[in-house]
Amino acid sequence: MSEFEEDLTAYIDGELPPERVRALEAALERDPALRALEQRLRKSVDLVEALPLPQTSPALRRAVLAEISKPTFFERWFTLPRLLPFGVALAAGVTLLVWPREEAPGLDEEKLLLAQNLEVVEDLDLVDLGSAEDLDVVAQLHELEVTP
Amino acid sequence: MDAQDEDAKWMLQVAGGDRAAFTRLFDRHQQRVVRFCHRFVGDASRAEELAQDVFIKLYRSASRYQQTARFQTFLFRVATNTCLNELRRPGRTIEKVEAPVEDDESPGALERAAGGETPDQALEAKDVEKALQRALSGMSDRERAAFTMCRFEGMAYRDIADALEATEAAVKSLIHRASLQVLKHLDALKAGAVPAGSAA
Repeated sequence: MSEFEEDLTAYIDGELPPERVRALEAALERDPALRALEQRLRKSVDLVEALPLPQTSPALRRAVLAEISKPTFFERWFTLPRLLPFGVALAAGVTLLVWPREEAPGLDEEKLLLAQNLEVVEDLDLVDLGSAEDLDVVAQLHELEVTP
Repeated sequence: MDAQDEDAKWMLQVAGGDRAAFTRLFDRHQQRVVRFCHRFVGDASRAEELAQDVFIKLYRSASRYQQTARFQTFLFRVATNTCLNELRRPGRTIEKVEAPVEDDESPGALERAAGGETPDQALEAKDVEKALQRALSGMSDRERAAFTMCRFEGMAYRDIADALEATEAAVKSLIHRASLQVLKHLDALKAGAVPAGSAA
């Protein structure tokens, strides 16, 4: 078949560039086989394009419009009524974390030592030893003891 | 404003969440999409299901639409991919036309009673439809897509090339090969035979 055969359908469809149209038309004049094929192709295009078109059903329109009206996953889950409990719980948690807590009454070391040695302190009070010097004397009492 | 510009404007409105704009696009293009899917898979009820998928995908991917692309190209790219995905699913193939041409009482049944008509003129629509279906089922996916967009949707080769992400030269070749297949099946119909290598 002619080198122009590939151009026939594009020619029938009006899609061939002008210079190629001129060359093809010259070839059609010269080549009866090419001309016959062109005519058969043209008739087949006419037959196919004359076929009745399928109709769509109204159900398609209803189905598509219903589908796009459905909320998306995001729209379904991220609504105020669904988010409200999470929001409240989150706010409560944050509040608990940042709320300034009253410090529990602490026992400092000095008071703890006093409590542990309360008995000794009472004894010292009893003998009226109040100053640091008196306590030194008490601490060194063993040196005053006379060994026989 | 021409229809293409209007489509593009509506599509941008759809991207902004305008469902009324989507309804207008749907009403304008639903017939074309159903027709394309019908020719692609060869089955009317599957075609409607596929068209539904196409429009839902179109709605959900509206934000990806760029006005530089022609709406028609965008629409048929979505339609082609949807149909191809359908045919790639296990057990899904293009509907084969199994009934042989000879299922009519005789080849002469193709000719109308009125005299003086050539066999071409005598072909009835249902027979042409049958030959077309048989030819479509024997085409490659890209041939079928290109042929359908050209012959039934009247799309220019350039737009078909955009939709198929191919060159215009490739589209020209695809459509020509597809047209020769249709011609072969129409010739066989007239001759009362099924051509070798046909789906039937």
